[in-house]
Amino acid sequence: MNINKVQLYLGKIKCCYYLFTFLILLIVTFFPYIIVQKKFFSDSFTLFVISLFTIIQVMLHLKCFFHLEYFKDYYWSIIISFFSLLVVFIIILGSIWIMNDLH
Amino acid sequence: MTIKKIQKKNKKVCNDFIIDTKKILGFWIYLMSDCIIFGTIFSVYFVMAQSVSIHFIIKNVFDMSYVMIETVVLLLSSIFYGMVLSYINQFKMLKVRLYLLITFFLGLIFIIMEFNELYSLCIKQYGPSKNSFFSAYFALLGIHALHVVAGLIWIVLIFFQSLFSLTNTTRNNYICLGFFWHFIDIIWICIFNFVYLAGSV
Repeated sequence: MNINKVQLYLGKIKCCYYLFTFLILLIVTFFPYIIVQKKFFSDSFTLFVISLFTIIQVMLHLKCFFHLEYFKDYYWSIIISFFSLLVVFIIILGSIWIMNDLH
Repeated sequence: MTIKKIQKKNKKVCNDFIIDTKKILGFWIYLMSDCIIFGTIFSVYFVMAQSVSIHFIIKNVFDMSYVMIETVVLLLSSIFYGMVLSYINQFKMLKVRLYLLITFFLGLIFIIMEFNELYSLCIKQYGPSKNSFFSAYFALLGIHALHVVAGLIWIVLIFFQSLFSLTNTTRNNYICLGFFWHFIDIIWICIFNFVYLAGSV
């Protein structure tokens, strides 16, 4: 079989799949917005919910749009993305920690 | 339609269906280094946001429903680009052109709304020279807007390419543009959640 899996998979996706994806992503986007506007929970718990929903949204985007699992170099791209995520976390948490310590 | 039928139908256009994954992996490495750039700008924003009371600023200066509309517009354009990729692999070039145009106009609406927001902030004397929070905010939003503009130019170029026949090389261009466009959407989601929503808690 000379045919790449991406071709087969992406070609089969129908419009109703994208409608469904859109509805799910819309719900996931609106939920933290409504929580913030209506003030259901305490401040720290709201922040936790917002970060949780950000992770869920990014995961859904990676699953629904990128279709990374169907590429040949799947493992390499996963390793590269984990490395860059590590660098980003070191930069963000490190700078916040240092600036708090200086205060 | 089975694979063999598609293959037979498009024999003149595409001889083999193999995607050059090396190119896509290289583009993925570029996207991840771009992710690190955004990470540094986010860290600057987080550090700067501690120095002023962002709760007060975001409550009084920003219009949350306007930002929500921007988010939905960018999400819709991302969805339409997903449809473009789906039609690329079904070799329906007419629909590809139509959905590329829809993606382009949704992206254009988004960028106009974002520039309008930044411009009205400058008019209201909340420009980047106001305080450290606003300079970090303008740097973050401005660099995201530059990425969207680059993506829009790329979509125009891809639209002109879609007027010609589809080959293996050009298909890689569509996939790479898809990665870039969805990446911009992911960055916007992070901005929306961490800057606007977390700021107004």
